Amino acid sequence: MSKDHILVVEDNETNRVYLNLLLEDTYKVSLAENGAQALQIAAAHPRPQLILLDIVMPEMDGYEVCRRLKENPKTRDILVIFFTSLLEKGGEYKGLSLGAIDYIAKPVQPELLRLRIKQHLELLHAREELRKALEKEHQANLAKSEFLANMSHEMRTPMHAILSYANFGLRRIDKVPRQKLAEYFQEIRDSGERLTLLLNDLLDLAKLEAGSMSYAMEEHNLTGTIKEAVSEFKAVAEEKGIQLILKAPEKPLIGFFDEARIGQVVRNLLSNALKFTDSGKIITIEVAQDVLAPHGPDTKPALRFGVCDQGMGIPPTEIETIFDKFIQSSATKSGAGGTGLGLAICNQIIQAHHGKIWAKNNKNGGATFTVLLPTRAGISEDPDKSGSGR
Amino acid sequence: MEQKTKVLIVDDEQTNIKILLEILEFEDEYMTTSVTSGEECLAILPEFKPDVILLDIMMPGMDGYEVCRRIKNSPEYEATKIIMLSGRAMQNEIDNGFSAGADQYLSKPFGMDELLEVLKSVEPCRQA
Repeated sequence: MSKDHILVVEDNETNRVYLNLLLEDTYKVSLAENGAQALQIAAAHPRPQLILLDIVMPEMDGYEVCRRLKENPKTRDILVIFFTSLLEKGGEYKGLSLGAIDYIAKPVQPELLRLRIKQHLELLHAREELRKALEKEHQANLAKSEFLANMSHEMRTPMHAILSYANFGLRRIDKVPRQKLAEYFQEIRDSGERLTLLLNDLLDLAKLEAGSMSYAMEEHNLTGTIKEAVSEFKAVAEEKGIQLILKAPEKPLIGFFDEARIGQVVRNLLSNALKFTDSGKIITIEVAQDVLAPHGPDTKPALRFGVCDQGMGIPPTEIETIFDKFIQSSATKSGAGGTGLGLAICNQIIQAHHGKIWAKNNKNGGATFTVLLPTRAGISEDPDKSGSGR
Repeated sequence: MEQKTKVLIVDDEQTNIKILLEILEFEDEYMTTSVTSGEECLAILPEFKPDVILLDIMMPGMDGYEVCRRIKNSPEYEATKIIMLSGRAMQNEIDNGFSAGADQYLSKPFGMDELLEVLKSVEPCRQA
């Protein structure tokens, strides 16, 4: 952690130098010889955490400096300790009521001064941490509320469809041909399926969150797993006029993973890519041998697969947060549907495999989602991460 | 013979469009067409000349409020009635809808009777 920054405001040079000597080992110290200078330093970056403020100074006294510091939103939170030889009646009361946290009489006892400063700063940091924790909590709550609103919207549409078509059937049973009734049933079934998918996503995420998902880790040919998933999407892609291209080496790529879960990740990425890609475009799926951190020290053998689309890409501000649960790309929010859970689920599954997943926008449009999965050798090199997948 | 009422459905969700079409087409009093965005809605107006627009609020691109304002601000569509459809029945959404110029407001999910009733409530004005 960087040193705390203390500003000493004292018109007497000897005292200034002495205080500097006393504090400079532990803190970053700035010195000001008058009020105007003090206000300037206090408002500049990096701001001091604490100001030792003399009271009796020419032109602007310490009380006035303190008043102005507390008036300015930029400097309001800086801790002020008065130190003075002015034994003015009511001075301590005046100083503290201006917002100072302490009032110390000169001559200064070095050890006491240091202790006081240390403790005030500790309190300041504790308060700061608390504020950050509350802010984080607040953000998490906002995300949760937004998630609930999304979920209720996502559930309302299929729910509305089920109720509507059931009503059509009941009301029109004698008035429409059987074919029409069959259509109503079909709609009810489709919407029911959509709701089921949604609930499965929710359940999956809840399990992953609780760490109670179990993984059947075995050696499989990753190309095979991916081929299977891709073939399931052939029909949908064809219907949309999108070409699916699989690039994989001839020889099998043996990885160590839970086939069902990795299949789920591949399907999720493919379904996203299809959702955001227009007719006439291409989605490329690539599988290859790789290492866990090609540019870092972590060069464990791994397999890589990527899904590259030619869709609208990901807004740059969302690249980092897109895998967070409850966070949904603004592009998705605006109509493409989804619960905002798919990528969060992928992320959890890949983490459990000690792998990596990330997204990036392509230079010529669209986005690529890439996954790195360590092979068995890659995992067993690390004694802490053997086999269980948890 | 009485002329059919022309209804334009504007909703980004296909599921919702299908439900609305199913309700209206059965009635035999309506001539319907649908689009999936505010931009498409404005584009199809001169050609289709709807009597009533069923307008979803939350859509990507131009939202329902903006579409409503633009239509209500053009004199040639003075007689076009707009019924706003929204997933959330929040009072401020309803107020925003009316201040954008909507003639009626319907919050989802609504039954078919409810929809037909609201449609009837705006129709007579057309003949006046």
